[in-house]
Amino acid sequence: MTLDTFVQLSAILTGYPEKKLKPKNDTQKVSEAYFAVLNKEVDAQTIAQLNSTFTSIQNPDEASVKTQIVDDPTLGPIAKNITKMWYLAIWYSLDPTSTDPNATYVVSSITYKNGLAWSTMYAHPMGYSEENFGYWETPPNTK
Amino acid sequence: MSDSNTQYDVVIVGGGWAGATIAKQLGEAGKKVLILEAGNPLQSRNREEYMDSFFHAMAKVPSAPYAQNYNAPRPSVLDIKPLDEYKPEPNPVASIQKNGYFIQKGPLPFASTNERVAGGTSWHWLGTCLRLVPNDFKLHEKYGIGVDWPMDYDDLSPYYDAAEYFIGVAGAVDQQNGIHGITFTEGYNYPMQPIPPSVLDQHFSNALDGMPLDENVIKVTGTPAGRNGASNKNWKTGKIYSNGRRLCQGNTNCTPICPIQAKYDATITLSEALNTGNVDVMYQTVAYEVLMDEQTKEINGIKYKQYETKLGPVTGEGTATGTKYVVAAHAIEAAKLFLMSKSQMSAGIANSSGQMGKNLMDHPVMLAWGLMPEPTFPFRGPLSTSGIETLKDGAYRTDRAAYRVEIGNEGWNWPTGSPYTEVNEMIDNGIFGSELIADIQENFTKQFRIGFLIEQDPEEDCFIVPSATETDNLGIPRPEIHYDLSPYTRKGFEKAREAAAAMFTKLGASNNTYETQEELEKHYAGSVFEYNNQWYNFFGAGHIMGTHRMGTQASDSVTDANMKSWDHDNLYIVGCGSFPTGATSNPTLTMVALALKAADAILADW
Amino acid sequence: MNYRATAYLVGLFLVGGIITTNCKPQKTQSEESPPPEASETDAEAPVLLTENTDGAKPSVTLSSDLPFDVTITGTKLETSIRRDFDRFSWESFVALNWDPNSADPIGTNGDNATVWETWKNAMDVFLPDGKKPSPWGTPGMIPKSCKTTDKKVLAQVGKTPDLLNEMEQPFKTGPLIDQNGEYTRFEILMNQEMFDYIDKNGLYSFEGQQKFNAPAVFPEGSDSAKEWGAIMVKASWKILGDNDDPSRFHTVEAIVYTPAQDDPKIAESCFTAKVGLVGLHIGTKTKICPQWIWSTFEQVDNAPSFDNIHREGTFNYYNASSKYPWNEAPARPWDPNIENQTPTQVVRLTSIFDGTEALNKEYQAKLREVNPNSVWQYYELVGTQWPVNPRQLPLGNPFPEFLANSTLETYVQGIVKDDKVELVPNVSSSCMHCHNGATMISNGRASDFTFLLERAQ
Repeated sequence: MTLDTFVQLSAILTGYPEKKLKPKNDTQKVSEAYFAVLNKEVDAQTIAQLNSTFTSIQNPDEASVKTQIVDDPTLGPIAKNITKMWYLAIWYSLDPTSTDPNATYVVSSITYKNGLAWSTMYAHPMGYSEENFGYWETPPNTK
Repeated sequence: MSDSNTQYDVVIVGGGWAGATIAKQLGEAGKKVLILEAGNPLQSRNREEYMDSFFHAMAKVPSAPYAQNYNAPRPSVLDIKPLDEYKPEPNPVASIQKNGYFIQKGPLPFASTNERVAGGTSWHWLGTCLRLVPNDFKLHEKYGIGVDWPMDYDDLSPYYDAAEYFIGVAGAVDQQNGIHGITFTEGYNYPMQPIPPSVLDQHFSNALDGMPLDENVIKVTGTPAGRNGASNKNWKTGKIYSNGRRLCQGNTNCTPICPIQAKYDATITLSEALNTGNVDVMYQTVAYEVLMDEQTKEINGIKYKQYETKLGPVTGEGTATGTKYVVAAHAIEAAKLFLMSKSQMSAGIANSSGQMGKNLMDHPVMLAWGLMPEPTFPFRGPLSTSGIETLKDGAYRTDRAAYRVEIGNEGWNWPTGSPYTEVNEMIDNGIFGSELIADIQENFTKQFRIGFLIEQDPEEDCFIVPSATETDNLGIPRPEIHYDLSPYTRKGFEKAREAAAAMFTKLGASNNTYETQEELEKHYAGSVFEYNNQWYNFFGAGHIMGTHRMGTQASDSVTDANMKSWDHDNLYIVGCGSFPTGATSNPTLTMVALALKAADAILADW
Repeated sequence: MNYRATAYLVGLFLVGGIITTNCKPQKTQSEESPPPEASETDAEAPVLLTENTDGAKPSVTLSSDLPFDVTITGTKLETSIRRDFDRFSWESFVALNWDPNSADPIGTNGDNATVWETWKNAMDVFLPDGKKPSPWGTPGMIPKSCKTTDKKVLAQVGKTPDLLNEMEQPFKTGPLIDQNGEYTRFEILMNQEMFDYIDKNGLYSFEGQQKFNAPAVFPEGSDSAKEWGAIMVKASWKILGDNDDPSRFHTVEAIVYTPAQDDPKIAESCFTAKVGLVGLHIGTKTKICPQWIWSTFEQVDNAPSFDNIHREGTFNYYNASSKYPWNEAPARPWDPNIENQTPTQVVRLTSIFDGTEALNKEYQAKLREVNPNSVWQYYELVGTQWPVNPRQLPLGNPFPEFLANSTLETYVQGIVKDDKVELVPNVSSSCMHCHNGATMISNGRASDFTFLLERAQ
């Protein structure tokens, strides 16, 4: 799987456009970080299966990704983990029986501050705000 | 071997808030001070290291930034579990890892935590700086409950003024003035202007102000806080207040750590104390016994152990000596230290009253949470900017505990682990893409929570003793805690639940609080209790009080009103442990006021 | 190649005007449009120094033309766009360090007086009781306690001596002590455009800020309008000792002023000393970068890099045989009058980016061409930070994420964890992240990326 394919898939899983996940002038390199985690934590065969399934979909959209990937017993958990990474900056252990305390982890502090869960609700990750004093007195701009 | 060679005027155990405050006052007055600090030193890299730990922590609890130190261990809320799940471990490190630092004997676990590093628990405090109300000092005289303080509001008022400038508090006199009899010195103003209220606060105010509740009327007020806001000109000198730090940027992270130090922490005072040139600190130096002169009964030494790494062995020992001694080790460690000091006094140094370690109090917190009828946008601003202070006194106090209400700006983060828990659930249920975005926006933007900080009356059977069997990695006994919530306090929970229901109805909010036994056991096993056929759980507010209380006589208190030990003329014991009763206001401001009072007394008694 | 400058002398006392030249109109894009689209390929050819690459300008020239704004022709954020900003930084550095009284190129006589040192010291803007500052061009105030010092210094023709009135890094993080045990001294100056905005809007006083009651918006430099915007500089200076080689520094005779303070208790004091420039921050507000462009320079001997810790040499702030922990504030009390204080052990944790390093060598070579003894060849650009997406308010998506000057943000450069440097968001030094939080003192209003408005009395 290439980084570009990963970003394409991530866009459908997260609901955010590719250019937000991997901007042309990318100061955060979040997609690279998550792509590296995926390759580290998931075996090559499963990634290949995910890749071939996704790339074989003509004009992939939410409906087709749902039936062929998210609902698939093998690929579904991977897809969900990718979504969780984008939203929460955490890699969750795919093995529920694991006792390794390091199997589930925050990917990095930079990815943490880019977690989509927070910006989606018009907030910021706890511990990282780019706003100015007093911003909380008025509601956010919800477009 | 590291016996201190200098003869110090004062030895202070504890480089946290109370210790640094007294060190600064004494250092400025020209006294030579030695601080023994059990934990991590004051270093330029502290905030970067702590924030790095925080970012990488899976559970962002109050202790998340402060890595466990097996040689000066600290508790964690993650260790709270049902009592029967505590399994003994022979190795201290393994035991602390599996069971936590506290040896919880119950019936309920003690749910609050503290830090043992330079700057102490101030690193993780929220920032709230509320004064006690006049009747808080007279719980016994007015309501027949507990004991009275050996001072009243008017005695402490000038020290409150001083404490608010010492810390640097942003607040508005006209909001706090008059609440349950609070008064301010004529003309007084806080150093900084109030922190702006959040969107949620404004909704609360619009809906609830003027609503009668029990015998009071609800009014939402901004919470004075040790957090930088716009400056005022000093009411006496006209000088503009400036402490050289940035204003709050609403990182919504006060607890466990402010990334930009907009929130005060005691490293500021520790730094000022060191800058007097009269204060030395020995870090990674753990006091374990207090010694006294057999004839005069004056304290004449504090034995300590030292270490170099958090898992390593003892690397030094010694005895610190001075003319006077101050123990400011936080309520549990201070009491433990005195109770361990049994070689000369069988009940422990400074414990002729038998009260040392007893009357352990917290503010057990009842959280109530729900969804507002329209978005109020949580996770913006400081963790709390407003509260309801008008409910915390009244005739009902003869009958049940009082509470104050803290309005939280962080959605359901505290009770449910939002957003992690909910987002995980959504994704696990197959929600993704545009539906996930819509769900998050629909649900999270309306999340809110309030916290009822409920008073505990002092009880002798809430106490800490040094464990007879469990130690830390230095071989020093860990604290064994016996703790419960009295019927007086449990009835406060009952009333709080009713209050929450009434408020939520008025707000038009849904009530998503767990109230059934199954839900509570499922989420908070270990801290669930029953009262009057209803089930509750409680959280700790992080307010550890009562274990070396002040009083008017030696028979039933540990120190006098100046925090001087009744038993040892050159010993002062300072910190929230000095509180005879806990009231409902967050204890920090009162603790600083008392520390300043103790410093004055120490200097006056030279 | 072609470095012609015309200086305009404005009276005997230089009033700090920016030196203009016959500007050759430069090829710029419209300020309205965003940077050009990136190319499709991921592959990045190395930036060759002498040929046009990716729209980059040809080799560097020295000019007294202070740029109004950045010129962006590159398309790759980390390389060619960064180079554009680094060039802007160097062009600013050269122009601001040009001799205001001479047509000769910078460093012609080795060292020279500079333009930026004619600017107004912040101390002359935020006066006690919020008094209105003196007009632009008025010589800087000298505190009473300094008037008895070396008359020779005070009588330098055409110039008010530098008044170095600060000695602690921001937010009470600590002083910086050099290898001679001397405190490093700091000063902050602003250009006329910045001063005028503060002056006209009354932002120099507590009441003035309250009355203004709005966020500050300083004027922007604009290439199309050929106007400069607000520019502020912060300089760090080392008191030169017998063992220091002054030919490697821009040096001046300065007034070293320590105001009376409480924490620690230090009496007011004043003396003159020969000081050498060790660090220079330049903050420039422009149309393309309303969150300002942040350029920072250091003298080349300051400290070794983490990546090259065994580099040979004598450093201003590092001693290979010292056991003192790296980037750790000195022991307190932080009183410069205490003898024999342990020097700070400084290590630059983040190395200078390769492309910036390459540009540094180009400029240093050019400076040597003017005079092989030019002091200016001993300065290097550490980096430039700018808002990549200025419309992503309020911060604008800075790049690079972190940036620190080892003499000015010594103690928040990052941490070393498992033998690697870890940079911590919101804490480790980033010009823009930090300055984004700057506010006015009387009402908490955003002060447009400068902490100076906190000094209003």
